[in-house]
Amino acid sequence: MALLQRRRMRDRDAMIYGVLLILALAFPATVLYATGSSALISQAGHAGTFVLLAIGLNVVVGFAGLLDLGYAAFFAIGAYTYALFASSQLDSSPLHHSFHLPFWLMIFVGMFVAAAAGVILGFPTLRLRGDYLAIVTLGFGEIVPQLSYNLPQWTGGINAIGGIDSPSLPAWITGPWAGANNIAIIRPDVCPVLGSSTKFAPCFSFGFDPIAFYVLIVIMIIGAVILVGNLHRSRLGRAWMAIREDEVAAAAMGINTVTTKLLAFAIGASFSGFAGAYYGASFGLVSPDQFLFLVSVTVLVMVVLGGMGSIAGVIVGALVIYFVLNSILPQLPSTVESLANTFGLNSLNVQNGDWPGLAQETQRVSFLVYGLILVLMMLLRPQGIFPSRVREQELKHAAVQEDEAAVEAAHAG
Amino acid sequence: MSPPDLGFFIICALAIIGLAYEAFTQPTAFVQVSIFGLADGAMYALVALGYTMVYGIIELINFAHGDVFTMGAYIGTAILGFFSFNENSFTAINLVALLVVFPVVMLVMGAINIGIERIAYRPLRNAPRLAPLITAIGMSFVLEGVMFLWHGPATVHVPDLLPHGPGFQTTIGGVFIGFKDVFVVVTAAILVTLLAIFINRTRLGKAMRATAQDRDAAQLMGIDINRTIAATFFIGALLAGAGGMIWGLYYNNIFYNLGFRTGLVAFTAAVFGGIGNIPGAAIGGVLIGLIAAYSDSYIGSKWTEVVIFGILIGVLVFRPTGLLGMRVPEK
Amino acid sequence: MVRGRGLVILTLAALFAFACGGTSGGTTAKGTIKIGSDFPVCTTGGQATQNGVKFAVDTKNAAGGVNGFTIAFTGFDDCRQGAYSADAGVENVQTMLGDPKFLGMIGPYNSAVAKAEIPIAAPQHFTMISPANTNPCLTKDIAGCAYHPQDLRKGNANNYFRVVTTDDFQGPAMADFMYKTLNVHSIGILDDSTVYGVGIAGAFETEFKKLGGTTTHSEYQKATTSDWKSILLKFKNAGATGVYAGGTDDQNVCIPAKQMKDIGWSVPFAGGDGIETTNCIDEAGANDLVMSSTSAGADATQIPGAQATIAAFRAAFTGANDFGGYTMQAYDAANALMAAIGRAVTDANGSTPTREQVRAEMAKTTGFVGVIGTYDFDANGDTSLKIVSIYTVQTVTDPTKSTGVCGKLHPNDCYVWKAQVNYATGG
Repeated sequence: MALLQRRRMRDRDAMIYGVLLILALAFPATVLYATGSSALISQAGHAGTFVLLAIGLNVVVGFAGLLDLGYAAFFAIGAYTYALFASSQLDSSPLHHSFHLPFWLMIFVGMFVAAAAGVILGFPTLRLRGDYLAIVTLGFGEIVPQLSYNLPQWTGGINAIGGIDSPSLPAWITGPWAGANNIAIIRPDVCPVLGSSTKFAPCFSFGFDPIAFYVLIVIMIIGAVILVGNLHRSRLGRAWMAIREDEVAAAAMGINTVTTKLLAFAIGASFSGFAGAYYGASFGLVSPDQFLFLVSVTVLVMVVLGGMGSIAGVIVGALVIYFVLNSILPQLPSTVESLANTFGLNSLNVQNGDWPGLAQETQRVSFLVYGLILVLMMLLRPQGIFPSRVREQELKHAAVQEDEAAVEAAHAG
Repeated sequence: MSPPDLGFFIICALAIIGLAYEAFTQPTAFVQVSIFGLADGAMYALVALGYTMVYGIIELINFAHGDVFTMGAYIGTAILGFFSFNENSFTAINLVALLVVFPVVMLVMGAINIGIERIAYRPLRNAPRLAPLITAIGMSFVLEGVMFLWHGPATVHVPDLLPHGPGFQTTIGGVFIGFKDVFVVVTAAILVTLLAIFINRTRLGKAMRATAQDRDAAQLMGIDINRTIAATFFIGALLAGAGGMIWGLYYNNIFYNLGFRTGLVAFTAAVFGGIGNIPGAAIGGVLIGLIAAYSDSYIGSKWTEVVIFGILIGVLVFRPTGLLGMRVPEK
Repeated sequence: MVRGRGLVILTLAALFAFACGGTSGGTTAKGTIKIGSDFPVCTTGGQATQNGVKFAVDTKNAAGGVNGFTIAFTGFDDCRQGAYSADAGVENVQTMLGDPKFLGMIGPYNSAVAKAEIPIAAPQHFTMISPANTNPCLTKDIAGCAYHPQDLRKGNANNYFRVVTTDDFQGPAMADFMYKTLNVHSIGILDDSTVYGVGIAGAFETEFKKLGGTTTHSEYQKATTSDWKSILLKFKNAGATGVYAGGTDDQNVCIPAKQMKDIGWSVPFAGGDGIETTNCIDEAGANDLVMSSTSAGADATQIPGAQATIAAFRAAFTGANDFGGYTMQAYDAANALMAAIGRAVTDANGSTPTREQVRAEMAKTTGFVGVIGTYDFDANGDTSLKIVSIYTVQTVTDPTKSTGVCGKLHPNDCYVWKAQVNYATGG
């Protein structure tokens, strides 16, 4: 029975991965052919960042059962690590010298710095239980962006770090998109020379080519899935699960709970740092506004919606939420506006006194809609779209217990 | 005393010495800052009480509570729109408006909060811990969304109907005190006293305390748990709604996501006083208000947030039972 | 496991194949050229500015388009949750860059957004022309800037132009006005920590000190500040008799004006073009303290030639808030861009020009006749017009006779034109 179910689960996950892969491969060519614009591909690249974040947070929340409400802080640390050492920002800092280190090095440095921050925060706080950890991470998540606001001589403050270097390759690559007029390719360009912001040398830069970044993030996600999948099946993965289910029992079984939790926290943070460095490079801009509480919540929602503990589910959850937030909700206003025009309600579209016009009003609704989605999702399917097998059984178990409790209560009443 | 505890006390002692130095060298400015801090702290205390009561009874960080606070100010402003009064002089109609607006706002917010509890939290009472937390965040977005839809992103003007201007302010030894500052502190003190009487003297108050201590045992004793939890949300929202209204009348400018930051600060106050501890939340609110004001003046307002959340982390790491060291539900 | 690994190898192979071969996708339909705009449309100021662009494009298309091409206009919104956001701006620019039919953009509105967008647009030679950015560091390599303008362009030719003058004129103009006309000789300066706020407050402070005044400077951040009273008390205790606010109303810079009255301190309150808004008048409360602002250009209502255009605009856009302080500047910016596109079409022998051709033609603009004057762009992309207008809030009987920027709660308290200073002629 259990074996059968396990196989079914694995088949389900394999199918999800297969579908996702085919979609990921077909996506760029389809978009270019259909729209003649690479804007959607660049959106998909950003969506990929959130997929990476969700995979990382899943290790912390889904595997080890630690609630982290400040995940965006590690994302910020990764992004700032890259941005500071790959832009001219440090020229105007007290150092008066900028470095322009290569992306391929800094993405790993960003990862390690974020992991180190995770260890430093986690060491004193992981002995706290339950919600207290959530509150501490929440506070940390508020402090990190605030520090980057407050130290403008280093981080540019509210005005952000712009002009961040793109990754560059030793050779140039051309592709099917090269024919289109202005859609970039990895092409000869000028890059700042290592350690100087005034000298430029020829290089083969990603520029802001959405397709190059898209290919990169797809490769990174595949790597992350393999890594996390193996971790999950390892001895460490089983220890996480044991702690999540019953910490006291896990400790009694000889698991070093503090180290194990710390590892989950640090591995989660390192994914966030990795994604942060990529995000800084692909966006070309790192500002404190990109790492507020809303981001932590959004990633958490992606994990919960997808199905905590299930890697395939979390990827789907991240894509769905990103699509809703960045594609459906922003397009609502113009859709509604043209609908109103079709039905002859043109007058609604015009701004009039306190009425800001239908499009503007619809835009204001999006926040409300997002909130409703969160509430409804938790009420209707608290286990997520594709829950992990263990989680699903737990919930079933809880539901049975609840039913029993209800029966008891009925008898008592 | 363990070394981390020692470090914590050293930091506290240094802060107090620094403040004492300021108090002696520039007493006027210090008293002035303290008065502003007290007024802010009184408002934080009203919000913190709601956080601490809800956490005490169902162990939920009610993220929507800060937005209940803002919503109170928005609804109050809408009610005040029905009155026509002169903002520049205090007349009988202003007094009538004040006497009408407070009870109405408090009751409306109480009803809304009961609705929120019924829709978003009660169905999830036996679900995993994460589920109600996410619905709380969702409800927070819903409330902010409603206010955003209602008035848009710009600040909303709350009529300045409290007595103000030359006749209602005084300068004592160089310290400026307006009627508004006194009003805020006195109103908050009255509300907190009423709450204390309610919790300690009434049957429902006793039921709430019992439920917070042990829900199952309380149920066995014949306490209607659902009704008690609903009552907790109702009372929390009464205080938050009143707090929002007071904030609006004090500052006269409110905006849709005001509750996010105010809520986090108030929540810190609740943790500071020992979460689940009702007198602790009131004292914590006042202390956080004072700390924020001192930080605004002596460190710089941009560091206030860092100071407050630093305190939050410090308290949880070094003194998880809160500064007052009282009982905390350990779960 | 084996199957999983096979899948991965297949994927990488496919990605690689995709990256290295294939034929071209994407076609261009002849007859349409796209231009975009990027403003915070959720604010009344951003909306009114976008209206100016829309009006210019509609007028041009009605008159036969540009050199045979029809202009398709898309107005992008860089608001996130009710205030401008550099991130949203960057996303909008990336969207435009991804579509080869986009040849240029009008905007952005806020200098902080421009600082983020220029480095992305410059390598693609994508022309940006702003009707409202006033921060000098975006174009000029002057002392006090945290970066050099050429860094923003990453070694590429300048792609950024603007039709308004800069804060190194706006700030001093108000400093002169406050010191000489309002007789304020000691002042408290507040800035909102943004690119714009810090820049204009700094320019003001330098000039005010040069005149012999004393200053106290304080900064704040929107996200963490709702109480300015301790800052204002510091100003008051330092003997200030006025406040200069470097910032924009969507960063709450006008709320301190209200709190000044709450602590019984009614002194003149002034700022740059960021406070010349409807919200600002409302937030400051009733008009019982002197409130003044500058604007980085000539007041359109003071230019005889602009009257006909304004009347035509008013006929097309009838809403009360449809016309704003930067509507005519946006109209001019759109026309300058379309003129450059027209010349670039000629350069491309009548076919769709490249972005570089448009950028090069834009840089060559000379003697452009706009509604706010006749002007060129210098090598930095700055306009040759260097006029600053000064406004104060007054209670008027007929709001349409003012700038049209009046309170919503106080519909008769409006910004009224006071004076103008022309720095090009050394005035």
